[in-house]
Amino acid sequence: MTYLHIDNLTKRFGNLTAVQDVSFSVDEGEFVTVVGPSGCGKTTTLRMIAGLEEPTSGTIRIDGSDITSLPAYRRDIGVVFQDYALFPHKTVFENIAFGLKMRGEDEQTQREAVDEMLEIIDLEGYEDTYPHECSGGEQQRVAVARALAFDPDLVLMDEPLSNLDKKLRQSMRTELKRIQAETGVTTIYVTHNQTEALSMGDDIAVLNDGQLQQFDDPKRVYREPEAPFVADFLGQSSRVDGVLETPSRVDLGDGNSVAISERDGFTPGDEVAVFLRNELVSIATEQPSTGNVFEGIVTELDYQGGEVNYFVDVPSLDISVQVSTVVSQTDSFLEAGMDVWMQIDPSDVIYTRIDDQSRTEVSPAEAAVEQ
Amino acid sequence: MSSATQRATRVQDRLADNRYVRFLLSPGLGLLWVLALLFLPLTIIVLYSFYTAGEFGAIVPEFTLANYQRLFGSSTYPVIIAKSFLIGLVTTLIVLPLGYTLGYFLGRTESTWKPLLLGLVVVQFWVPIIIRTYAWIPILGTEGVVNQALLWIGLINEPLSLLYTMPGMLVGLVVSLLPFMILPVYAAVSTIDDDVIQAAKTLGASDWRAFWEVTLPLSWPGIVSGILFTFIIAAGAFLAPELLGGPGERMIAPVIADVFLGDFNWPFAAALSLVYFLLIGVSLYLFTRKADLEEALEGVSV
Amino acid sequence: MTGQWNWRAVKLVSALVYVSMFVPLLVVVVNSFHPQRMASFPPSSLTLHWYGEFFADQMLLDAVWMSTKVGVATAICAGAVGTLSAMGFVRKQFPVKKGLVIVMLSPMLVPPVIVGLASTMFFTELGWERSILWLVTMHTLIALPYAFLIVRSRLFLFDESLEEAAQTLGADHLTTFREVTFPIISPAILTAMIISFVISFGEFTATQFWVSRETTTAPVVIYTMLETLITPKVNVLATLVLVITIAIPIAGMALQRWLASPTE
Repeated sequence: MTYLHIDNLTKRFGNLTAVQDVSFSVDEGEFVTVVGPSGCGKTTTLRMIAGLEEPTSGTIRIDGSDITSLPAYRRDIGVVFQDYALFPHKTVFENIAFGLKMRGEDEQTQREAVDEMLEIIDLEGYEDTYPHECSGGEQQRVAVARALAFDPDLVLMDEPLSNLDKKLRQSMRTELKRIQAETGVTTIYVTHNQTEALSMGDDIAVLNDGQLQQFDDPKRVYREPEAPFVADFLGQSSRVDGVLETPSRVDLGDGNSVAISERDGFTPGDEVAVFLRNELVSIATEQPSTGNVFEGIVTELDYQGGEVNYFVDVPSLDISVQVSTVVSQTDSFLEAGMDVWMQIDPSDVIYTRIDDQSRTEVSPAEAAVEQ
Repeated sequence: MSSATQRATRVQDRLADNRYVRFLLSPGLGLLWVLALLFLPLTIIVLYSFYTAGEFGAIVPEFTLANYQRLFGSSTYPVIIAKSFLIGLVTTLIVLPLGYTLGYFLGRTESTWKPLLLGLVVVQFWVPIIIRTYAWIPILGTEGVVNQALLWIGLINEPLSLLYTMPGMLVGLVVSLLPFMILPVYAAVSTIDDDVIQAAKTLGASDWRAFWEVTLPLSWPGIVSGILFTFIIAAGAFLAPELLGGPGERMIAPVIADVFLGDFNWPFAAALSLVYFLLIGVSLYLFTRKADLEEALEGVSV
Repeated sequence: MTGQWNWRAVKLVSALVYVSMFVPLLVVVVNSFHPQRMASFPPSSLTLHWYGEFFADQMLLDAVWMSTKVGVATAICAGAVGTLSAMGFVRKQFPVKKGLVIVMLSPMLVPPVIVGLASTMFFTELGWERSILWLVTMHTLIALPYAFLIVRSRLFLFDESLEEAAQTLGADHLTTFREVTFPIISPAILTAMIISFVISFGEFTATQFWVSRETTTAPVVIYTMLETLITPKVNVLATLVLVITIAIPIAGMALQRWLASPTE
């Protein structure tokens, strides 16, 4: 059942269009991640849903009622801010109880709700501490509890993990998912981190240049991207453009072609972009007998302990492919200058239609900077 | 919620969110205060300066140029105005090295007494200028502290006349204005990273060169702020010339006050004020061509 | 080493500056205990005689009381108006903002003689008699830029997402200010109020245009006493003013320390 409904949401700042005609729907209890490079409009979208930014046009509806023109304080939407925005002069208790206090709840109700929240976030006994006495991870959890405590219709999270170190980020990811599952609250989670988006979202909205590129479940977004940007942004891959020859083969020019698995909505003659995902390509010294096979030369290798990254030039396609291989103690390494074979299964080849807009791609270097 | 209360809430929201309503409160109230109580009255000065001064302080709203003719008719008033600006300049030139030195000291010292020493300068800001000025009377007088000390040492045989002279007045002005230089300079110097100065020295700069090439340019914002305040306040000084200066040392502020409060000649006081105000305006304009006025004014709010 | 000598010279000049700033104040305080009418320094003995005379003089006590009342009222007005203005200037975008900041700060730039004279002409034209309200209104004008700058520099450091957080939690603008913004910036507002009090308490040059017989302030009385009858009571009054203008800010800062302690 559709719960949150966003319709043609647009925001312009002067001449700049931050968000353009974004529409999507979220079901009750769903966890949706919004992902895209910085400046793609994801935070602006979130702020419009929260009521902190007024849309230039479009509507936002929750449970059927239009909330587009309501000020933030009249919407029942909890927000977890990137820098937490905990009130420094209030205790953990007062922070978490704030939303309830604003709604005129009595002391007893506040106490019960806060106790419940503290149990969920596993911070019992922290009532009287001040935010500056808590660690980064603890502050993060208090911020989540504060956004949840007043039982909001919807919770929005704006890159809540970006200020934490890598290890903590990992565990907070599971923690947040657990809390969401426990409370069952509909959640929209903004991030620029593709791994976070893929691992956390029931559905993913991919934004670029203020436009919604795709709204789908993680598998489809990853496997069947609807725009070259989506394929490029999620995962690391090498791109070759070509033309669909038959429903299951793409002509890459110069006599090269690649077998693909058939997908609906494509007809021979379509211009497509083909993506070879690093993690789906395998490498061998003997010519493999099945799948798509390309000849290449190892140019560089990057030893990372349990894993080795090979950089392989494929002269026939004029691309360089990066292949990650797990190696055991006994495996011998390939060396730079060696001729190798690379293989990828037709069903692992990702392709997408090129429309005029997306012909200019985001370079992998740029995408890497966003990480 | 009934639809009526809902509508009332909506109206309340709308009003609280109305850009103009909110602008009028903040920042509008402060701007209104300044515009109504400073800018509007300033326009009255223009009007009054063309009115005729009647007998016994009466103001006759008849257009006349007599006030300006009187002002520019003899050298008396132009000289007073010029002298005021000159005194402002001289005071600034004395305050600058002295105030800079102490500001620099406070900015660079690692003494544990630093908070106290800084506090002592801030305290100067709090003590009214009238007290800090008149306090020099028992010091500079013929039987004052300075003369007694000098007589006792034997440096002089008879007391010097320091009070009611130009030097006496300058001492009072300089000391009362020193904090306006010390604090902005301190604020600027204390933000200079010691490593930057050390870097200059490792690159071969002597102490003097390092100061000249690094510290001084980086403390420029503080100096600019100090100069602005010192000059404007000194040129418009009222208390120092009245309490410490001699009869020959007339400055524009006491003269205007005299004409206004003593002679009740409001139109002439208005004309004097206007000319003086315009000259301050010109100084400020010249100042803004070299420095940022807002930044300089911020200098004292440390 | 030259560096050390340079530093010694800096210290010497600094010491001289301190001496020049504090010796006069010391002399005023000591002279208030001086037994003779015509003071020679240092006095041979000390007396509380002039304090006795001072506290018997209703006119002087009234002046100190008037200055205190005006100072407190100015602190409240300038604190409130300065805070509101600073909020607007930091948070809102509006045309010619840069120029309007200079308008806000202009009372610092216009010589006090002109501020005093222009407003007197203006109020007279409006038919407004000199009163304590007049004093408070104008002292607020003079203190406003300082209050504005102090609060504004605190607001520049203020994390606006705190206010947004409060709003998403259901606090309207007024509640957000009361619950979040005000408690956090209150130390700066207190500083602004203290400075406004001190400015009002000591202002003389413009104030001499604004006082009437009934609203004479302490600095004006000091000036009148210096111009007319030389009485050592002026030293007592000056000492008292000195103590008030130093003690109030120090007490205020202690209060501020105490207010700020939970978030420190």
